[in-house]
Amino acid sequence: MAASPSSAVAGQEVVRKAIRKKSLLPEEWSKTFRYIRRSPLAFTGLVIVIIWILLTILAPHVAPYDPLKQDVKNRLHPPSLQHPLGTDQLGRDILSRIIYGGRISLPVGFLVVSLAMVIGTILGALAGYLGRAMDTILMRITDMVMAFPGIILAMAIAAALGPGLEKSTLAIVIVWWPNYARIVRSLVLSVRENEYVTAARSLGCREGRILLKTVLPNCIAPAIVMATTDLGNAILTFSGLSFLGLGAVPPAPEWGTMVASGILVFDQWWVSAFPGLAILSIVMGFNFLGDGLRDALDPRLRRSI
Amino acid sequence: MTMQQFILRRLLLMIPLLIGISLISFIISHSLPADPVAAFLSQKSMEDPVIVATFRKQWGLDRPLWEQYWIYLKNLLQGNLGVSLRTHRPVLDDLRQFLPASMELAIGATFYSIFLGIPLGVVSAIKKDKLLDHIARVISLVGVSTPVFWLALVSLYIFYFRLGWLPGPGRLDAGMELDVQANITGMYTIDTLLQGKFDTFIIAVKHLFLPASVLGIGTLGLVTRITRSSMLEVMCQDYIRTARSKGLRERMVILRHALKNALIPTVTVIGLSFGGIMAGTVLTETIFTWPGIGRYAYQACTKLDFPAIMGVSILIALIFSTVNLLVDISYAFLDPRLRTGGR
Repeated sequence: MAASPSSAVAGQEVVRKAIRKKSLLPEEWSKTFRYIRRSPLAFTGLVIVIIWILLTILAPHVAPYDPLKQDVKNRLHPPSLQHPLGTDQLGRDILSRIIYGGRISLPVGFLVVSLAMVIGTILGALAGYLGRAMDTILMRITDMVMAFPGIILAMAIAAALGPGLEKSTLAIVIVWWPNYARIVRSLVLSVRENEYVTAARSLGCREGRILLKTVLPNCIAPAIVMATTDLGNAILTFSGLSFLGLGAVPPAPEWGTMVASGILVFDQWWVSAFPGLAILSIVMGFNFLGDGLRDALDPRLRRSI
Repeated sequence: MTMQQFILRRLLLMIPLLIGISLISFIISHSLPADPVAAFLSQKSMEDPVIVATFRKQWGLDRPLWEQYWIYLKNLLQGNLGVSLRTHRPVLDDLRQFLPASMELAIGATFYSIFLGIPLGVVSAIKKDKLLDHIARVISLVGVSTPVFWLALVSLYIFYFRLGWLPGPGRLDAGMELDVQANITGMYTIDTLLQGKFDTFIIAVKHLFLPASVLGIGTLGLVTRITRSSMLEVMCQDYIRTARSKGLRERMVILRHALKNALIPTVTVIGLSFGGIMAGTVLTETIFTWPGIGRYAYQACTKLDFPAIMGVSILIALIFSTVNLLVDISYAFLDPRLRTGGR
């Protein structure tokens, strides 16, 4: 009689360990990094992203000039040793502006994706885990937002809120979360059926704890893969809004705004060309990396793609 | 389920979709701090309460919200999308005028991505892990990473401004717009052909080429990727081995046996990205001064012209669902197993 509770406790401990091991998956991550090192494409992506992050953090030390300092004598200067990427209409050094531009685009990208991920994860997890009426209601709302042509919705919200960084970020987040709600919901639905979830439930875990500690950690990896590629898309959309004059406000050195300013001096190609290359390179970096991560984490694709 | 039932069900499903879209744009247009009145009246008339009140009454802005939405929905069902605050014309008339140009552009972009993307995908599947495959993969990833507005400017600079190979913005050369006034479909390339004006047709195609290829670059990347992976999947199937073992030439195996079966995912992706293409017209049309619904939507947004924004959104959603319905129907032609309607 006295022995049985302690053996039950020992049994619980074993199951608990099994659950913990399954949900943390450290070896899966080191395998992923090994895969990225071996895949030239993913490695290139990682290098591009790291270079941009470093440039952004170290901008004041790396940029040769002040990004906002005007030098009217040297306006529309073609690329030269003094100004490697030339100067714009107000004589501002384009290279410095591009380097500082990372300080706008990267945080906006991270903010959009992480906010969308949080909102989408909460709603998707609730829909997938609670099911029934909750699922139906949340998914219909998701469908409604998704049916809307994203850029037009973002454009309308940004126009109505007025230009500005925070406002355009908010506008993009509003159209961005449904993708995450969808994917997290479908992940939760499949993870929910696993035996370790049943094990946790049979141990008497509360539903909230099961969802947070057991189900969600196992949904994280695919969501992160999606988020990596998505960072590029968010930056792309934001620069598009800025290009239309609905995002960052001049004189902020935002890449889309810089491309737009080059329209007025079409002949001076460097004013538009280089900021666009900056967008292209960072988005490409995230796409290469996301692609490599997807290959690494999905063994079925690893074989065929 | 028979084909007719399937189509009917899908058509009925479009109704809640449209209600959803109109509801969302309605909520946004009425919950935001910006006041459309301020966007349209001058500073001086804003100070006159009588003018403001008249303006509000004229556009129904003085009614309670739910009533405004109910009126909008009732009109929508009768095909009345309201009146644009900017052009002062019925939104439906505006859309009817601008849609053909956008459709021409979007269809051009789709053809471009199909005719380049499918061969590129097939080649990289056949030459898997060879140099050509890596090049195709990089091209497709660069394609989806390129900012459309930048590519539009760069290609205009190179092919129009520097080299002069292609014409500049617009649908026809300057001063030529009147030539095709007697429009039939509103798509210049088709109209000129129908009228037998081959010179004008060539000019219209030249004008279409640049914006369509810029708009289609993202879809090109997607089509290449999907074609490649589904070709790889199909090439491992038993019937390919059978076809090879009966001595068919490799060309024949790939084109007749593999590609036909590999096309279903490709067609799906093309259908799904058509919505993206339609939305992408906003940036492309603005730069190429292409008189389509994308440019119309942008102009509407800057003026907070919500009847017009709602109209464009509903139209794009409608086109998107119709295209995807057509895609689903086309499966039946690509895959005979689906033609029987399943069990």
